[in-house]
Amino acid sequence: MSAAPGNSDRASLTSMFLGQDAARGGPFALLGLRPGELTDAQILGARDQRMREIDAHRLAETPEADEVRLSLYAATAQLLNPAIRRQLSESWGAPGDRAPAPEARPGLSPGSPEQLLEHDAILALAMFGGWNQRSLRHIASIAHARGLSSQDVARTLRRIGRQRRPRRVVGQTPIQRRTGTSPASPVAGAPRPATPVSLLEPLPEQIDPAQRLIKMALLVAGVAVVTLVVLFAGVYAVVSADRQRAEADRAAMADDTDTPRSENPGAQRLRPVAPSQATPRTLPAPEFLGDPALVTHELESARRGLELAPYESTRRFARVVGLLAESWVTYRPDELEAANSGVEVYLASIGSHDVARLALDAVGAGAVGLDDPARAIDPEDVGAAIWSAGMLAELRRNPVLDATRRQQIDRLRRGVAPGGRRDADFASGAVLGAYVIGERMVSAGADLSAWRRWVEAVDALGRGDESLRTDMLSSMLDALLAGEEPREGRAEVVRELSLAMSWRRHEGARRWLVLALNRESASRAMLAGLIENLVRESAAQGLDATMTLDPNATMRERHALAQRMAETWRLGRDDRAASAVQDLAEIAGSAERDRARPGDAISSFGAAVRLAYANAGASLARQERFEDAARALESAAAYRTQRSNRQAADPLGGVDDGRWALAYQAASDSPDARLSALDRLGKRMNDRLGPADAETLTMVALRGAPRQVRDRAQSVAARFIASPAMVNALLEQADDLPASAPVVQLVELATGRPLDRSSNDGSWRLDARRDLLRALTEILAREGEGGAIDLMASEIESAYALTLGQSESEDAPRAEGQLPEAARLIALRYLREARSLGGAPPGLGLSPGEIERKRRSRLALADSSMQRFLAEQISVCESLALLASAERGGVAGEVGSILETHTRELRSATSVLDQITATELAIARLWLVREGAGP
Amino acid sequence: MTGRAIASLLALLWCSTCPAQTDAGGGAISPERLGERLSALTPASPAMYLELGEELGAMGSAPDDLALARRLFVLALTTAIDADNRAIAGGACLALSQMAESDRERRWLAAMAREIDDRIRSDRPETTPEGDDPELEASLAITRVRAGEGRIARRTIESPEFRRALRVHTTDAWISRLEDEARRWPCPECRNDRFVPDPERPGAQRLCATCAGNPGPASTRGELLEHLRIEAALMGVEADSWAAQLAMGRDEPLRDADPREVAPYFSIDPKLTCWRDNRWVACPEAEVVP
Repeated sequence: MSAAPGNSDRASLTSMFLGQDAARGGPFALLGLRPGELTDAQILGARDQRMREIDAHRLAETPEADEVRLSLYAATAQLLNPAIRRQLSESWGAPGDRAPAPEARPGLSPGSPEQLLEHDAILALAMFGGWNQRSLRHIASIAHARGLSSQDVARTLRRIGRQRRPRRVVGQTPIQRRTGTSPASPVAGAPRPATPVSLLEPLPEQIDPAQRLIKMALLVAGVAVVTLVVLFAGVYAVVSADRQRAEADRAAMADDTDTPRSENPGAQRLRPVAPSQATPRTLPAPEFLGDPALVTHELESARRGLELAPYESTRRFARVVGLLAESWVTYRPDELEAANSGVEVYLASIGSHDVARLALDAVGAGAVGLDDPARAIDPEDVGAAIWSAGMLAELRRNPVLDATRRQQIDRLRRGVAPGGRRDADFASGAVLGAYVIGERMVSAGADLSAWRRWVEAVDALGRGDESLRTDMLSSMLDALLAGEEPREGRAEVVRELSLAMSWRRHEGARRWLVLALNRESASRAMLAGLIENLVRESAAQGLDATMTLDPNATMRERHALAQRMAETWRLGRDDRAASAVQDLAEIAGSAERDRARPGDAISSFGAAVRLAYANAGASLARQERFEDAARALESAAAYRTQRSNRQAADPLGGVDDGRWALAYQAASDSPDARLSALDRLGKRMNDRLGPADAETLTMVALRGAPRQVRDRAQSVAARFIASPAMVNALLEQADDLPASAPVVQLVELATGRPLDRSSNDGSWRLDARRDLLRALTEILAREGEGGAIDLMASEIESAYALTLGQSESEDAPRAEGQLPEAARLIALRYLREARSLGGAPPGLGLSPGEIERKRRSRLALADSSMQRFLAEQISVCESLALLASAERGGVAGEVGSILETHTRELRSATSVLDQITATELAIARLWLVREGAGP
Repeated sequence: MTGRAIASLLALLWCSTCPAQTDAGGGAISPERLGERLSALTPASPAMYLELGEELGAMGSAPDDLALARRLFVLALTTAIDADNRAIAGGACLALSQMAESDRERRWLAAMAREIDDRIRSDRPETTPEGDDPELEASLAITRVRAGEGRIARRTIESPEFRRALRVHTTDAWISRLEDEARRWPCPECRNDRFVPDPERPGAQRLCATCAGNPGPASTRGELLEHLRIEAALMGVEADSWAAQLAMGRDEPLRDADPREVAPYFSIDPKLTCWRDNRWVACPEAEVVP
């Protein structure tokens, strides 16, 4: 047991952590306050500021730092008591510097039991280091002694919470909102520690010794009162702590084991409790405890309690996490990082699976149920859901996460990150969550208050990244503007979101508005209202009263207004977009030259890969995803065809073929000798068997006797199953395969496809034969010259996935045959965009219906996955042609000429590979026209 | 009734509306009469090309007749498209599909006929091959030849259904080679036992010198892939990988079901629509449809 530090030690510790001024003596100096008129908020703010200073100190994790923290809590407790504060103020303040009587709370009569309880509650919370069982029990016992009910306690605590909770005020900056100040009240919640506490405060040598004695006596009396209270609470807590902890933990255990488990028990615990149901155990936590320093501190305290009372600790963790999820939007990035890492450290410290499950449920509580379209969106849920989405993403990428927790996280994320990446961090997980929740809010018609919470979260996520902020806001605006008939309340939401965009500093918002005007699907009435608001509030420089939109404006009038706005704002081409177009032009030119050169089909097909990446680059640059675009264009420029070098002279050949078969034949009289021959084969280093050995081994594996030999042969056959000769040997036996599980497994291993053996009519042998035929063809083809084609197809698939906005690390399905679907989705996207611009101008001879009709006709003729891809790829080309013509007036001629050339090239092509390259080239040419860099 | 039957019936129905399918008496058309009929053809009457093509096609299988019939169908198609006569154009396409030399060509032309005239129904078979059908038997027979089981394979190979099934997917020359191989196997030395007594070591065995322990014809990669391609085609197996499709010769270009594609495909100049002085020439402007 360590001795408590003496006064001089404490002063030296205080000086070390908070500077000499703080160690000068007295609670005011300790908290960096000037004696005199102070509000509770100022005192608590000062304490928080000091806490942050300690947390930032290099010795923040030491017991000494905790010692100073305790002093701060004690000083806060003293000053929160008005009587003690008055006395201390007189003791430490300048003559005449007297603190006024405490101000009465609105709605409470001075000296009423409720008001007294409020003060006592603040005192207790400060004394016991925050919201915990001890402070709660203490407050409840005081209330009980004064004849107040638990509902009164709940009301009091909510009142304290409301008083401290930062509210958004019109005109506040995000930082002002976060610190709880407003333009009208320049006094921050906490004074800067570096500022002298008070110029009026006397220096120690100026103080009269008698006066100092009186002051000391008063101080001692004040401290004695506080100490008594602390002692009382301490004794009470110590006596009952063990018993109650054991009870609580048992109760928690009973809750978790005796009652049926819900989908997310943690979520149930975190649901707000109605005042009438409130008990000290389930009371809503005071919101002021959601401040960053205290949350981090509480998380650490909860972690320390894990070993002693894991369930109790998890309950505490759940409460803190609930507060964090609710209040994270007000944190600075470093504070949020510290709190989030506190959550991770806590989860990493858990030893029991059951406790880990509960804790993880608490983290994901905000996300639960959001995949249910029937669930209403409560404004209070919005921030928590986004935090849960981010935190679950962060936790999910932990490489050492066990499978059970991974599944639990995936289940919890279902509602906020459907198909989300598995390597996303907090920020990208939260951004995705915000998108998903925003979309839910659009479809559910969430009210303005919910949207305000969503904007707060976007502000927090987009701090320092205006493009991200603009993207998120504009995406939701796009969704809200869709449809001609404005829905009730939607205009207000559109107003809120549009005014939250940065019209002055960032041109992204301006570009978005110009695009929205050109998009037919955007409601005229809502766009008109949005622009009117921008003009009225002078939000966007350059917009004047002549640039409003008539609610009945035609698309032509909208295009004209968009054009005017683009000119007013000088929305030229971004340099990065221009560079992407230039790269595309160079790659397209080089691909055309490559095609003209004589060469084999595989070399020529390299051009298709380069063009596919370049086209993905153009698409990404159009979406202003310049980094991704640059990566795609780099891939295009760097691509080189990789040829297979595994080709063997004999397609089924192996090393020393027949030698083992002969040895096995010689051993055929003795099972032991056969087993030993099989073992020798199993130990062979080369994994490629020739046909004589493979056919002998297959015969033994299918029909060898005794069973022991057959089993061993099956196991050795599995070892060599990748040899083409083994697959061929099975194929030769396919119509007469024994119907045993090991044989079926062997075939499945050879083909990589499951066999359905549910029917007893032997039709499974036909399936096996088909699968073996396919497998042998693919093995031989990959080993041959054409093997490079599969690698190229995979590259084209990556390029199409990029165009669709999937990253290469994403878990998007990459099975062969997905490429036609990817092309289909891209074509549909272009068609949608073209439709929103009013379709193709007359003269092009192409319409969405015509494109679809041709697509169906081509698909009906396609009889391979290459041809199916080509059919969809041609639709991409035609849809882009439609889009380019719809978007840029006057290019229909150029577009038509590109399509004619393409048709000629398709006709003269000698293989489907040529046709794919020709189509990719036509897409590149169309991109150049769309970007104003056409031939 | 299968789709193919419906399509044929439609073609037949159309043809029943023709004024004459054959010359009077239904016999072969004499060269003089043919010359007269050809000279009478004009782009203003696309039906005349189709009628004459049908007559020639129905008369026999002489290559010259078939080539002329094909040209007449192509001209019927192009002139009917110019005249916006979808019934004639669809009928011409359907007639061309019935003369197709490959399954792919037939499907392409039939799809185009449906594109042109939506009264023409799908000709796709409505059922998939059953397990005991000739195509499956043919596929198994090819595998058996590869495995050196020529004697068993011959039972199938010698049946007329085998050749019929195979002709859709390969050439007569290939089928003949397969028949030769079937006759050469099993291994004349070891009878497919893979091993024979070693004359130098009594009681011991050695690998068969003829088949090297691997009965069946030796194949290069290309030959083996061709076997597999035909076996897979007979069983309706489609490879997923592009490399496999390429290796199996499935890299043929995809043709649009567009009537403008037909004339270039058959290397016929669609502008030469009139028969004058025993050759095809461009018609005087007066005869061209405005």
